[in-house]
Amino acid sequence: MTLDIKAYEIMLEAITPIAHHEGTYGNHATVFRRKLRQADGSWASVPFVTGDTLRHKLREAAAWAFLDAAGLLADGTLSEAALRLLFNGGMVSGNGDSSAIKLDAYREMVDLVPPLGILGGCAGNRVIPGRLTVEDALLICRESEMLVPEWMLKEGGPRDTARAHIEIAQRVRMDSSLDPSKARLLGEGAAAKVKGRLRKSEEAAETGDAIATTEAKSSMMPRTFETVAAGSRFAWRVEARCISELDVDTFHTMVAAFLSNATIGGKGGTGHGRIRAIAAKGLTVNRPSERLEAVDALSLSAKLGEVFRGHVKARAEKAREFLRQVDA
Amino acid sequence: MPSPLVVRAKLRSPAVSFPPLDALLGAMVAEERGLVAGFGPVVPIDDLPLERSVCGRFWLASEAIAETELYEPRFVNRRFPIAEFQMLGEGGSRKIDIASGVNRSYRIPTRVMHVDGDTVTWYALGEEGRVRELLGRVTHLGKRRGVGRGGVASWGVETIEPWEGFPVLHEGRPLRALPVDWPGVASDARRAHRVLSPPLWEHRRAELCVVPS
Repeated sequence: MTLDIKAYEIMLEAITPIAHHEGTYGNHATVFRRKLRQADGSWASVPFVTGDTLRHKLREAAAWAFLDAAGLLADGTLSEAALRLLFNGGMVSGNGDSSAIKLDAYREMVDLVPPLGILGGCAGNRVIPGRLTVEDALLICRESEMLVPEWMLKEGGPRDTARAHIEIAQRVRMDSSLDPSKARLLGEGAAAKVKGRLRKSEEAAETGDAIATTEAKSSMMPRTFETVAAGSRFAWRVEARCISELDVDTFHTMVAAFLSNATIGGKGGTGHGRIRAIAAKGLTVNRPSERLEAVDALSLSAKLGEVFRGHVKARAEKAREFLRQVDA
Repeated sequence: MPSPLVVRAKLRSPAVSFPPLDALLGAMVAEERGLVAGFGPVVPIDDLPLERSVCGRFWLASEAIAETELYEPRFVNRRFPIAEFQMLGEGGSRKIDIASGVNRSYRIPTRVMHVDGDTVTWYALGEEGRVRELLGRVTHLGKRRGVGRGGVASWGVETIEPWEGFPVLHEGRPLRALPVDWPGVASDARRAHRVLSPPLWEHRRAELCVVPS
């Protein structure tokens, strides 16, 4: 097989609010926004999910799929370096000689751990170039219309402004010592300490002493954060430069594995960030004769994962040995 | 027969950097041959669809020309996969140092740029058809392509009326790194060490050049 640039355009939908934050200002967290130039030359800030996040999610999905196929999930024997390689892409450690790495060494590494060929990484004190491009998932809204593929605009229905997709939520971490029923559970010393703090707080409030108020304040923590509302849709494109059938199947496996149970952003513990693919189209970029065709994003090919799993399983022992010794 | 060409890329996402045209075409030819950067011996690529300079030291193609309209801050983050290590890590390791050393977590500030008209331009003397064919496979430009930076919406390759010094010099100003003895360069042109021909990451070949300011 010669080079094929496989690309998928996937329309994602938020099942639960997305809390993908770029920073916190005081007690308020804001969602990631990206600048988009509008037709009149002005700039709009549109929420998006970073390509970095989505690429990492694909790397994680590929790592789990690889470990599963190689029978390494139940072992609990991975070294730090192996774990870094599979889940973080490894790092140039500075150990050993990196001056003369043969092309055969690259092929062997990619043969044993197929996701490395697509995702790239650092192993054996050497940078392995990746062949996967994961773009930002851009909120489909009025301000992003010129960048969203036409078929998504057609299938996505009417659009609202970016601002309309943002919700502000407030949560409070309570201070249990302020609840009398719970305060009763305190030991004698701790109870006296809490009472002392409360007295100090009341006195400070009466005298207007700001420093004493701060020192005696409770651990209650109210905070607000932005989310992108459930039901919002995102345009996402992911692309891999494949040079073998194994590459194609590895790529399909990681995308399908991620989408089968996809979560992004923070606050996953409270159900935020669940997304699903609602439509997808695939194309081969370097074959213009092939048109954009609709695909099922969860089963990108008829034999999804068969080639990948068979390949990894057949080399499981060697892969285990490679991971045991790898410097990454 | 080489023609004077203007190459334009229309972008659909902000970029971190733009490569010179000869480097871009060199990467595509290397990919065709199955070469992998950093593995195996460095193979010289001598069949780019570009005209060579008279001295034979470089290809007649400019660096990318683009005006930055707006910069946006971004961050590159890494966190050690602690949860995964608790599940899959070997039993011998009792402590992971995430504050220093190989497992250190980081958040590095960086930035992306939006360019004027979302267009990047190069000039070259070369074979239009082959240049068009190779660029057809370039979907992203510059650094951090893996996370979607520098996405290309479309390519345009057209012939152009050349000027004196085309395509590497314009009114005495270099449009790419040129040897310091290259004729017609303004005396106050900036100087820096650069690699003259791809692969540009082979820094040991760097030499003193006059470069675009």
